Order: sequence, then structure tokens, then C-alpha cells
Amino acid sequence: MKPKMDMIAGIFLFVFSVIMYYASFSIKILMVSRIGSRFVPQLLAIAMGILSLVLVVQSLLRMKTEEIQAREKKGGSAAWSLRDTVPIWGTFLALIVYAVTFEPLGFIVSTTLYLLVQFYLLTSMVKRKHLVFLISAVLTSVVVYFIFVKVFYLMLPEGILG
Amino acid sequence: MSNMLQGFASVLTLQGIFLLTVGTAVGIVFGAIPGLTATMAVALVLPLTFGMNPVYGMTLLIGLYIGGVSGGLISAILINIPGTPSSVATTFDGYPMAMKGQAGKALGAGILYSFWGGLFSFLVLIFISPPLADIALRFGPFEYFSIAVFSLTLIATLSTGNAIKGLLSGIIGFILSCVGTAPIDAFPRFTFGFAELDGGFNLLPALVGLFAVAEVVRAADESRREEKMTVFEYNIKGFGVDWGEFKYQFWNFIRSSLIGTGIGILPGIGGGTSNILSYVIAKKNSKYPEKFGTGVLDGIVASETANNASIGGALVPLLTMGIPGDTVTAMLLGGLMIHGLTPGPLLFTSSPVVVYGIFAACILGNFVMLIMEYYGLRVFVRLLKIPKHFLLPIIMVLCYVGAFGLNNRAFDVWSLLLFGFLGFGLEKFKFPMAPVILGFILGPMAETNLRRGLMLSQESFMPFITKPISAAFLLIAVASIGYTVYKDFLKVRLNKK
Repeated sequence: MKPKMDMIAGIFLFVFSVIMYYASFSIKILMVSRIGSRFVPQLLAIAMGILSLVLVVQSLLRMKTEEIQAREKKGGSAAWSLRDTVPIWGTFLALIVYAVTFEPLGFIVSTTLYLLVQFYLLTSMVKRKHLVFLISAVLTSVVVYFIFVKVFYLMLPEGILG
Repeated sequence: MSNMLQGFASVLTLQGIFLLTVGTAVGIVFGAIPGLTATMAVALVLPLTFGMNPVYGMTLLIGLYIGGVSGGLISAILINIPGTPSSVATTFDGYPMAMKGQAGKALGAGILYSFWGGLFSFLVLIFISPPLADIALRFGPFEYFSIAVFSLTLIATLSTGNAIKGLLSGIIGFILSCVGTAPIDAFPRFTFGFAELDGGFNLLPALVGLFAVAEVVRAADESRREEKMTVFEYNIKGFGVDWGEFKYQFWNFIRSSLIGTGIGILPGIGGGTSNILSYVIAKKNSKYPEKFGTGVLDGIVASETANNASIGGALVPLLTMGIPGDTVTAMLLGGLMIHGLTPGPLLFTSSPVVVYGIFAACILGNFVMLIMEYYGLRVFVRLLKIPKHFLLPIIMVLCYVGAFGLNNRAFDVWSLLLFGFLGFGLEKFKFPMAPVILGFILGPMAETNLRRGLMLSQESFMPFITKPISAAFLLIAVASIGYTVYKDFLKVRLNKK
């Protein structure tokens, strides 16, 4: 594990623990007992703070030793293009949009749209079969809807089709 | 004894057998396809059991569990990718055997020892749980607190990689469980005025999000890389082992079963850990350790026996104390709660039919798995060829359905996403995920019992240390943290030289 990433994680968690510690002061407590509802969150925040600092220190130590090793060999960094991250951000966005449209558009419509987008995001240009994707998306949404609503009596939003 | 017969009677109905069969089949599918796990299978099917009677619901889930853990061996042997984390070690010798043209032997042996390992652990489960439940009945808040802390530290320190990260993951999970209403005095915590947060995050979306959603997002991350999977042809005759080999592997089998069951019993860790541990120990104790990795039967025996043995083991703490033995049992906990049952020692007296029904489902399910995997192997192998870009989005949809179907509110879907992104982030930064779930489940147990205990003892911390069982667990907890931090420290020291 690259120590730099550990360091970033450690710093992030440390900041989080500080914020959490202060946020926990808004938790009301009864004066009766010494250990109230604030105790555990604060304890956790402190523990997280300490551990994240240890992580940062650990990663700094590792970065030092790896610096020495890296100077001895000249490695090239892997080619990394922005285009490679499109699927990830696209997936994040697709999932969020799916969640937002789930109730208003209804299950079938939002699911069909989501599946289409996701199929495209997960395949490269070569492998895309547009008609197959479209049919699968619609078919899956409808089939899942019917199985879960009619057979299992689960409730799913009808949205604009209702 | 009569309880056991009742248990069998409640499962051996047409519907029961049907559910068990379907559950096991689906479980094997999930187990065999890399990226889909037993935990996910249980999580997705869980909301469906809502309308069923509890015994049937649990039967279905147990079938998924057994099939899911065992199914991983199929892809492990044939394509060198473990179908689930429980079959990692099976790839070590399974795939080399396939390369040598012995795929059939490997598969047969894997299936057979999955069966025996499972059976061993189920017998342990059936005989140990009732007395253990009796003992657990006498546990008070002090003991429960210490056991929760012990479990948390154990999973944090034993999970792969950095112990510090493991502990941090556990703390993250614990913190997430604090959102909502505080135990005992019911004050709102971290709800920021949102009414939906008053109830906190629900376990199902959390679990499904953490494991399933993170998986889909990861597939998106890796989608630019083409992967060609060559699946080996095989010819399966018999169960891969002749009588002589069976006798030779006997001690390996016993040892692996014990390891598997023991690790299963330890809260939080299960098949994922036991298969590797068992393999390593088998290698150490073997007369030909250098042959491990080239395709020896011992490796498969060790791995597959242990991972199925962890099933029975994991059910022990779940049923006797309400503490999940691994991630799947964490979901089973949710399953029992959906039916209004609280797992723990009282379950044995209040709903013995459910408990013994679960035992019966385990034994029967084991047989179903054996038959299905052996005869249905062809079908499962074909399923391995479904492209991921179809499978994962559909899984995602099922996750949304499961999350929404729980309480009919979009908030659970958002929880799903939150935990999904969290899971993805954790994976990216190489933080272990299992401690998060354990922290989420055990956190409330720890806090509630801490405060209850303190109320009982008039604010004194002494009983936690003076009561023998409580003290023992706390001691082990502290010791395990100390030991792993020390080990890590040594590692950093060694790297400096």
C-alpha cells in the first residue's frame, strides 16, 4: 500500500475525528449519570484521532524508507489518463440519479434508464450492443417489477406509470 | 431430541424442501460467480422472507449460505479466481490441478470435503449451542459489553493488513451506528435535524451497500481493462478421492474442520479467514510442503473443509448470544429480527422450533448442496460465462429493490449509496470492510451494555474487571491489540533496516 495514500487517509480521518468531537457537544445529556449519551461518541472520536495520527506517522516513516529505495531504481509511473476515470464518476452519477428518480419516475422507468447508462459505462466501444442493451434494460425492469410486486408483495414506486 | 425431530418436521415439507433447494442453487450461483458473494445473496433475498414463516425464511437463507460458501470452489478451480473470499486458498492448488488435467478430481474433492466440513461443524453446532445458551443466559450487561469489545478488537486486529486500519474501520462502523437515537436516554445523536435519521441507518442497506454496491463501483473502475477468462474443461468421475486418499487426508480433514469451526465461532471472522489459515497450517504440518501450490489434494481438502466448517461455527455465537460469527450471520441476524425474533439464549426457550429448524436446514441443506454441485456442475459452469457488465448492474437494481422494499422509503436507498461509496473509498485506501459492519452491529451492544452495567453498579467500573468472564474477554481484547500493534511496530522497524 502506497504510504502516501495511508497518509491522506490518516489526515482525513483525523480531521473527521476532530469535527466529530465538536459535533458531539450538541448531544444533550442528563446530569444524573456521569456517562451519558455523549460519552461513547467522544471516546470514539478520541480513539479515531489517536489512531489516525499513528497512521500518519507510520506512513511518514514508510515514505522516508521508500524514498531511499526509490532513488536507487528509476521507475516510470503507470500511464493514467483522465478518460479512464469516466466509468467511475459516471457510475457514481448514475447511481445518484437513479436514487433521485426512483420514486418520482417510478421503478420501471428509472431502472430502465439506469441499466442502459450502466451497461454503456461498463463496456468499451467495441463491446457495445445497443439493441441488446435496450431490450435487456426494459425486460429486466419489467420482470423484476412483476416478480417483486406481484409474487413477493413488495412495494415499489409506480411513479409516472402509476 | 424431540426438539430436533420437530425441527426436521418443520423443514421437511414440500415448501421447505423447495425453498432449501432453490436457496442452495442460488447460493451456489452467487458463490461461483466472482464478485458475487454469499453475503450479498443473503442480503438480497432477505426482504423476500418477510412474508414467510420464520422457519421457512431461515431455511431459504441457510440454503443460500451453504451454497454460497461452497460454490466458490467452482471458479477457484476452473478459472483461478475465487468465487468468494472463502475459496481463495482453493485456487492455490485447485487451479494447478486443473492445469494438470485433474480438474475433475479437484472439483470432486472440493465438493466432498465441503460437505464433510459442513457436517462436522453442524454437529458441533447442534451439540454445543444448547449448553452454551444456558451459560449465556447468565450473562449480564458486564459480560455482554466485554464480549462485544473482545469481538470488535479481534476482528480489527485479525483482518488482513494493518491493524491500525482494522481498528479505524471498526470505529467508523461504530460511529455510524451512533447516528440516530441514543440508547437508554433516547436523545438524538448526529441527526442534524433530519427526521429520517432519527432511526439511524438500517443494517440491510448498510451491509448491502458496503459489499454489493462497492463491488459494482469497482467493476466500473476496472472496466477499461479487458479480461479473458479461460474456463477449463473437466471430466468428473466419483468424488475425486479414492479410499486410500481419503484415509490419508483424514487428519488433515479433522484439523481443518476444527480450524474452520473454531474461526467460525470467533465473532466476525469466518470462511474468508479459515480457508487460508487452514491451508497454511496444512502446509506446515505436511510431509511435502514444497509440493503445495503445484496441485496437491491436501490443499483443496484443507481449504474447502475449513470454509464450510465455518458455517456451523458462525451460527454458534449468533444463536446463543446474538453476536454474528461472520458477515453472512450478520445478515441472518437481520433475518431473524425481521421476523420479530431476537437471537440469543432466550431464543432456545421461546422459539425452539426456529432454532432446531435452522439446525435441520443446515443438515439437509448440506446434502442438497452435495447433490446439486455434483450433478448440476455443468449448469453452474455455464453461468460463469455471463459477462460482468450485465450481471453487476442487475445486481445493483436488486440492491435498490431490497433497500427500498425494507421500509418503503427512499432514505434506505440513500443509506445504501452512502455505505456503497464508503465501501468503495475504504477499498481504495486499503481499509478492511468487515470491521465496519461488526462495529456497526456490535457498537450498540457495547454501548448499551456499558451504560446498563454502570447503572447497575452505581457508576463503578469495577464489575467489568472483577467478574471473571467479563475480565477474561477484556484481557484477551487488550492483549490482542497490544500484540498486533507490537507486530506492526516490528514490521516498520524491520523495513527501516
